[in-house]
Amino acid sequence: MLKKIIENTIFIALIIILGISVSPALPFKNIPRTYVVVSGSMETTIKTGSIVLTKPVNPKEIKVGDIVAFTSPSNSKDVILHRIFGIKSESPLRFSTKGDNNNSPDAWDLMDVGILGKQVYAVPYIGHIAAFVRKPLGFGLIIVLPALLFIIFQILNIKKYIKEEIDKQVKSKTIPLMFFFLSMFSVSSLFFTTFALAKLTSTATVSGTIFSTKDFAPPVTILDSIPPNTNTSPLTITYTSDDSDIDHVDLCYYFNDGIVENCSPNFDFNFPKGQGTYYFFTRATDMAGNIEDPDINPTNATIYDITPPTTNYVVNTGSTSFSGLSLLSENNWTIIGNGQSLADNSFQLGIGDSDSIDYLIQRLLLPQNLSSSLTFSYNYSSDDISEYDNLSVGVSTINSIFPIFSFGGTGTTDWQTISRSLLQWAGQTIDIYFKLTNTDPTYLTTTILKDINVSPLDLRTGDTTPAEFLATDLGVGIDTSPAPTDISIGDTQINISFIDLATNIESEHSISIVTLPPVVLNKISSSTVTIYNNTDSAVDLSTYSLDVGTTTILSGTIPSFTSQDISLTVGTTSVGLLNNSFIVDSTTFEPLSIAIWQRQSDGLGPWTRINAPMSFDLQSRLSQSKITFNVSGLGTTLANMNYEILYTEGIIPRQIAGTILPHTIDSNGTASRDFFLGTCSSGSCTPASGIGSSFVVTFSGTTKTFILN
Amino acid sequence: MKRIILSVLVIAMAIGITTGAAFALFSPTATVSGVTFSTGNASLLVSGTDSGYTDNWGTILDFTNMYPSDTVFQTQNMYLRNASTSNIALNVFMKLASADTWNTPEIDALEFQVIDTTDDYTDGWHTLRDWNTTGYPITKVGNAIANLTNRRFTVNSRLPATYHTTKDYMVGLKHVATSELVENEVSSKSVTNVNFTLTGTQN
Repeated sequence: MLKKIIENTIFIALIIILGISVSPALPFKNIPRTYVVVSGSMETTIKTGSIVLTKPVNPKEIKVGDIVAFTSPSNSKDVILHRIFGIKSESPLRFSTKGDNNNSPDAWDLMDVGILGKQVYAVPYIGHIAAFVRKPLGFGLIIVLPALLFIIFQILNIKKYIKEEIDKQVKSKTIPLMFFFLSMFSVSSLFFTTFALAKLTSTATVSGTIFSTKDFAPPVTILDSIPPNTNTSPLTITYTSDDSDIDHVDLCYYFNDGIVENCSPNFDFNFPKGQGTYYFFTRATDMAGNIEDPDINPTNATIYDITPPTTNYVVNTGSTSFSGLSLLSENNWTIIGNGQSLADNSFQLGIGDSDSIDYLIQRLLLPQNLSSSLTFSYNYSSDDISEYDNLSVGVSTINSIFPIFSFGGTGTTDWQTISRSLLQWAGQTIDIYFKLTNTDPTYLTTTILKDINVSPLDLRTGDTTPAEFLATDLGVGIDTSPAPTDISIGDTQINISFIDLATNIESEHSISIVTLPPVVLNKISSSTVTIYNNTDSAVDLSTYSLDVGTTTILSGTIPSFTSQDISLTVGTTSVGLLNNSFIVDSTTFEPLSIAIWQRQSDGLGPWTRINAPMSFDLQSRLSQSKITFNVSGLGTTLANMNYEILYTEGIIPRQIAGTILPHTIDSNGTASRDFFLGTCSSGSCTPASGIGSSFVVTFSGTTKTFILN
Repeated sequence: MKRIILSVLVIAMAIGITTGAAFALFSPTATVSGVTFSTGNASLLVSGTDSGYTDNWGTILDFTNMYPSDTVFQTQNMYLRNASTSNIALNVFMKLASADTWNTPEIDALEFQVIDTTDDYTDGWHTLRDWNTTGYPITKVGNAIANLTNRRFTVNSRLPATYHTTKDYMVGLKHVATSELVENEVSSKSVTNVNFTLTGTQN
């Protein structure tokens, strides 16, 4: 009987162990399970060592406060039993959990799929058995001892079987076999026993931490707009900034395209490098010492220009004028040194390297009272390593040399066009020279010159002529130009002032002009007024009249560049020439009883009083092997101004011939020429010997013989 | 006679199964080990030095004057103590709980890292935003802080060098190269009164 009780007790115990052990390990989710609670974070609700029974639960039905078993989010091998502390999010469904005995929620978020079941019942202490079985003593008591008992019973059974084998008795064998299989299941189930951890947690807090970045960002300043051109100094420059803690800001600049940076805290900029282009930027330093990496924008530049433009070229746009006519002759250039004529009437100076100075020269007579100007283009190139070489352009007169332009240095220029007024030399014979200096023959310096032109303003025709003026500006360029001006007959000067883009105003200056009608007064005597056609075509005189106190209407035509005498009695001290009743030329003079009044045939030049008729003589200075030819009473209307002097040297006839040029005639109508009788070579002269005393002089068709001693 | 043989076989099998179970449970290489029941309570304490442990360390963990660099960062010590009354080891999870000034872009720029000095374990650099939204373990699985022991961690913070941008660099008016320029947006910013929660969980 006792044996039966023992057997049944072990039987029931094994079934319970089987149930407890196997349920969580079964591969089905929707069955009740049991877990052994091995730690104390759910105390005192669930004591350590309890066995909890869970049932499957739809996660959506879980409420705050439910105790659930779930797979540990931090270690999938662990099963945790904690209370739902809160629902963190509905979709996806997430919970926070907390052990009743813990001071804070668990660190993890519990996903709905991790939930194994909801606790429905907890039996304290029984779990200790499941744990106990894992210890040697527990294993001995719970597994080995029943197994030993079972084995003993079996041995007893064998003993009985042997006896029954003898007795042939038959007895039930069901129970021992059932024991065997139950034991087998139970023991094997121990491998799958699941322990739920009610994990203990503790929270500590680290509070009040500060993370901060220092002010490592350089400040940013932006220049306000700068005028592209200015003549204002100091120029006040301003900037804006995004940084509130700027310590100081420097204004920096590059001059022209240099790379030398100049900085100063002074924003009233006084252009220390003088005229030129200044590229500005700002460099700020903030209180933390960060220095701005400046935003260098080449558009933040201004051209400082305090040089006004200069007007030096007058363009007459009148279609019938002589403007643009070059007074230079293409074939009259003299080249000294290494130079050559190129195609298109251009010249090159500085070919090869043997000569140090090369010249291109032409002599010309500038018209009197006309505003002539020189224009030319040059292309300069120097291989020299130092800036010694240069191109110099100027005017050379008998008395002096006037440089009017020079350019030098190393490198190569593009084509540059230069224009200079020659007004101050009007009426003079000058040499235009181009001079290229090469100081070191090792390095080639060369210049090509082209489009060399000397053109006068010449208003010979028309009553009114529009004229346009060109100015050059060394700096930023011309902003406003005076409108084309109408030059009327009788005007003597025009005032011009240009303004450049930096608002520099050219100081007003005047250009003297001479305006001439087609027909001018040329010579006045008491009985004759001579007029002259100043144009290249015949002029119909029917609209002209002369006012000599009484009016004489003219008729017929006057051929081109020809004088014509009008016989009449000049009874007043003024004469006017009228065209369509407008006075186009006039003059006043002293009474004409003893003199005539005359000026150059083209109407230019002063009126000259001529007291006597034209005469000439020859003075002897033979002691110096010289003679002097004097002419008085000269008027420019003489058709023939040629002279010829014939004499003998021994038996050899000699001749001196030439022309009295109008500009060599002084205001009294006299001119003189000195002649040396001999030969000159290289500056030393040898007087001729055996000069005859008879000199035959012919001037303007009149011949006289002089005997000189 | 059959039953006798059968019983002997059953005895042999019972001995075998029992022995096998014992071997499986107690062999040194067993995957299923003994279970320890843990009573008492967990306690995780923190300090900036290896003394004066507290559960709320009003810290001197100040990371100031940071500037963009991957290699230069600020580092400080943090000590944790497992003062549990239960014989348990603690795995520690750290999370940024709150802060007073919490603004972009600096919270997405500033990075924080905790290194366990016992095994140089770290989950890596994470932004303050990530420390807030996610949190990271600061002890490695298998290296929990044993009961009644202290452990030193280094905590680091940095502003990654990617917060540099570049601009053209000029010498005079000539473009020379591209230089580094720091991004202004995260300059002179601070995240103050940042509170971290350290959760020690029984291993």
